[in-house]
Amino acid sequence: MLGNEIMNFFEMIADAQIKNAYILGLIAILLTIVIGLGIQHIYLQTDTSADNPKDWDVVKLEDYVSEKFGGTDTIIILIELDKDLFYSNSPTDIRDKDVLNTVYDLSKELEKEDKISSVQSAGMLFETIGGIPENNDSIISIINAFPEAKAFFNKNNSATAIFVSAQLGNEADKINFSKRLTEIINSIKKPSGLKITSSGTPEIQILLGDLIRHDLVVTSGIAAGIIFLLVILFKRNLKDAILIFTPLIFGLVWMLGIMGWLGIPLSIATVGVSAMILGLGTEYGIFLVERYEEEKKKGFKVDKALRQSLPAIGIGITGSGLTTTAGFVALLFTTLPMIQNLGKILSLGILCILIATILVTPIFIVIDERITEFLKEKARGMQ
Amino acid sequence: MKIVNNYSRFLAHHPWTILLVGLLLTGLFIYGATLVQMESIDYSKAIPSNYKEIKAFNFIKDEFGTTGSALTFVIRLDEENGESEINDIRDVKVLNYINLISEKSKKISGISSVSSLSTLLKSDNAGILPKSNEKIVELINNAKVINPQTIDVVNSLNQTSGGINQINTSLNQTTGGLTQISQGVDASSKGVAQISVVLEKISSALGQEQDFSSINQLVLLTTQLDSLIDASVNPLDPNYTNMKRSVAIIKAGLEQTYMGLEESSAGLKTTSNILDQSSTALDKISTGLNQANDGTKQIIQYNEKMSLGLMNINQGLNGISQYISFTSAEYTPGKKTIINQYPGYLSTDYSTTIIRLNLDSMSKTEEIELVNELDQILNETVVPNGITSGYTGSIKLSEEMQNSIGPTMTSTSIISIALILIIVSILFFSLRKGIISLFAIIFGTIWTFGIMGLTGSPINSIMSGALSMIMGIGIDFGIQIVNRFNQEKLKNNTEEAMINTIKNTWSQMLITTLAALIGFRAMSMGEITIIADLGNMMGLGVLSCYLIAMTIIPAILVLNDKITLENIRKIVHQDKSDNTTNVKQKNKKVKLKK
Repeated sequence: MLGNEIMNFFEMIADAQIKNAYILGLIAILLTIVIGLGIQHIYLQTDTSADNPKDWDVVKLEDYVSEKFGGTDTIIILIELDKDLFYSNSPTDIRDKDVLNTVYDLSKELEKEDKISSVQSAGMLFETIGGIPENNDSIISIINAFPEAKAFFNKNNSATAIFVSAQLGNEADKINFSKRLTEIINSIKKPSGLKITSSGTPEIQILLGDLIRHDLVVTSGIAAGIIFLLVILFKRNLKDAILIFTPLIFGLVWMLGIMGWLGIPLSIATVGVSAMILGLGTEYGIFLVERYEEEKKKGFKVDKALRQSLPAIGIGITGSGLTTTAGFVALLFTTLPMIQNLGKILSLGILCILIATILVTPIFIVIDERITEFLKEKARGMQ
Repeated sequence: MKIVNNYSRFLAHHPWTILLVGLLLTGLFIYGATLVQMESIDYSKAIPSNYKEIKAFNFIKDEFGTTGSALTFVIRLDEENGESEINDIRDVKVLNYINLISEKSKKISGISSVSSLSTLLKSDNAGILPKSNEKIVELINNAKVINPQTIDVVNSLNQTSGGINQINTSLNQTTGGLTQISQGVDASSKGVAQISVVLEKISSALGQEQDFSSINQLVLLTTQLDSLIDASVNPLDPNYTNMKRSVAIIKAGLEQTYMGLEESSAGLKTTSNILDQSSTALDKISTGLNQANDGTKQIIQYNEKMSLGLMNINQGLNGISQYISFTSAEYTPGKKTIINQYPGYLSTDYSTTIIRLNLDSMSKTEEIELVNELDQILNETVVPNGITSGYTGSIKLSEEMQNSIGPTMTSTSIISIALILIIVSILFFSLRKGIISLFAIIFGTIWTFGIMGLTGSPINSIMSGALSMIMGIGIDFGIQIVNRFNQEKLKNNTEEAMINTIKNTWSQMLITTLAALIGFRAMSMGEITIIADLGNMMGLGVLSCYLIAMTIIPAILVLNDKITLENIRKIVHQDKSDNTTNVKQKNKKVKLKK
């Protein structure tokens, strides 16, 4: 009885799609555009500590220590002798007065920034004892006399570091700060033969964000391209391949858009989820198109073929989609936030592709058949 | 395809063979599954190291002496314990506890340094742990302030330099004196040695045995002369008496001389012995003087080195003094420098203190051992009433992550199987068919773990959810096969239904498997490769489920169809009717016989 109810439901959907193909197609496209706007709001989770379970004692303790002892962002600016940029008047020892003046100037400029709470460098240390001497030998004598100064230089005196503590906030703030830092570094007068690089947790998190965006596009693109080729080889027909690929495109855009609107973050653990969804969702389109063509081969017209194929395959792919979703939903019950997010995104993705297969693909099958029929009639008419 | 046709026919008619091979392989993979290792994720390898930010970070870590790895013990007031006497972390009982933990931790291999409130207080209190709360508070509140305005640095440096010069001059004078002493001692030693040699020679000479035989002979001669006088001279001769007297006197004198010589000879021997002893003593004195000379020379060397060291200190101080003079003919003192490290170890509300453990680079095995040892320290050290303690850090977190993999897999798998079973049972309106389709994922996961175990591929925390995902994906294959078989059974017998099922589903399922594999493989094509292992495991799982769906599931379906209850009833009914026929025939025969 339930089976008949479900069959009737799918038949009803097929009827609606046959009768209102063009309008429903337009609605589907507009809906996809609206949902797709959410993609720009996708939040990138670049702080790997956020993937730690908050109810674990070790994590609670870590957060407690940060709260009590002040968690800050640490940026390290590395100034090193660069052999590639070496000229005759370039310093050969980092403990050079011109280098230290650069360090000092950079440190003072950084101190002026609001978000920076402290700057520690060799230049600032010399400030406490009156300034940087003009004579390099005096500089070396003073550094040797003060053990605290040696912490700012590496073992072979080819590099020095500026340690900056700041409270930077979210990713947007970090990106803005990174740009500001680059501006400051570029504005400081420095001798030739020096290379200045900034690093530290914020810089690495910004890099991670860029890589996540890059990988999302690359992995999805590679997966989509190879799967599309595979489907073309399987079907030996470009039109069928496009029809099979249609629910994947719609489903993927819906998934990413909903993630953006709901604030579900993308992280290093979930960056490849698009590629996974493309791989897993391909079968729904294949089963539907194959079954439709089987019915067409029996001599049925478009509407009859669709009314036969959608209910017959609909139950199967719905069951398949639900079981796959069940496997992913089970991940929501883990203690690890990154696995929970993986489960959320994968469940959402599979459901989106399933819905797109059942609701959108038949619409485009009907539209395609009508356009083909129209062109055939026009060609006959011309003949 | 011909090969598929042949295979499907073979399976339909020989399901036991396929099932047996499948079960044997499953047995092998069960063994392989027992070899699977768990490991934690290394986030440091999440981003490739060729990016300038990562290169700079690694350079700083290596060149500026930071290992980047640390653990933090956290000791805090137990707010839930209302009866505790400790309401400020700056308590001597807490301090003793911190000191105990710090000292025990220092002994653990892999810990490069330990810094805590106790180490700071000891350094400010001449190496002794304060014994009272008041002393602790006093030391913490006494921040060290270096204020150049209160110190006349140049004069101080000059005075120090002058003092060092004076010490150096004294050392030089001492060195000169010691050199003279050394020379004197050397000469004395040589002189004493010479005296010793002379005495030895004298002793040798004196010790020689004296030969008094000539005197004895003279005495004999006098005796003989006396006898001769008696023999040759008339006793009445007036010279007889004089001659006798003279001879007697000579003889007496010779005898006394002999006696005297014997006595002096003994005396000389004694003297010789004494001189021998003196010579020996002088040798020892000479040796002692040589040693004293050596010692003096060493002192001279030490003095020279000390002098050199003082000269270097002096040069450094002169350098600083010159610099300060350079920078200020009008001397402008710099900022006041306050050195207070306590805020790094003591929270502002005095409720919490920390112990920092800096770590050497170590392997995963060593990290696990370290965590175990720290846990032991924490468990065996009695915590004062009113405080709680624990520790945190990347290594501890990593260990917890690793320990969570197994339970995570178990819980997600159970939930996944339960949900899937419910869905497929509703789908097929049959629990039995639902269970058969479930075999795809049960065998599929065994094969997946088995292959991973046999190939030595470990499982990390990101992969802990893979099992559940494989189940969700792999069940499709079971559903497709069971569903299609049910549809074919409506038109055909068991064998034909299975042949058609395989022929009509193998290519579609293969395409979907390939598409899934492509999707999983594409996950490792980006710059972030931390999820590549997850993709590999998923791909292996999907492939295994496909193979199960093409082998074991069809075999079970065929056998299930043949060995249904209906068939059993039919067989039993057939047997009964055979027996009834036999009994009737027997009775008929009996009747006939009768």
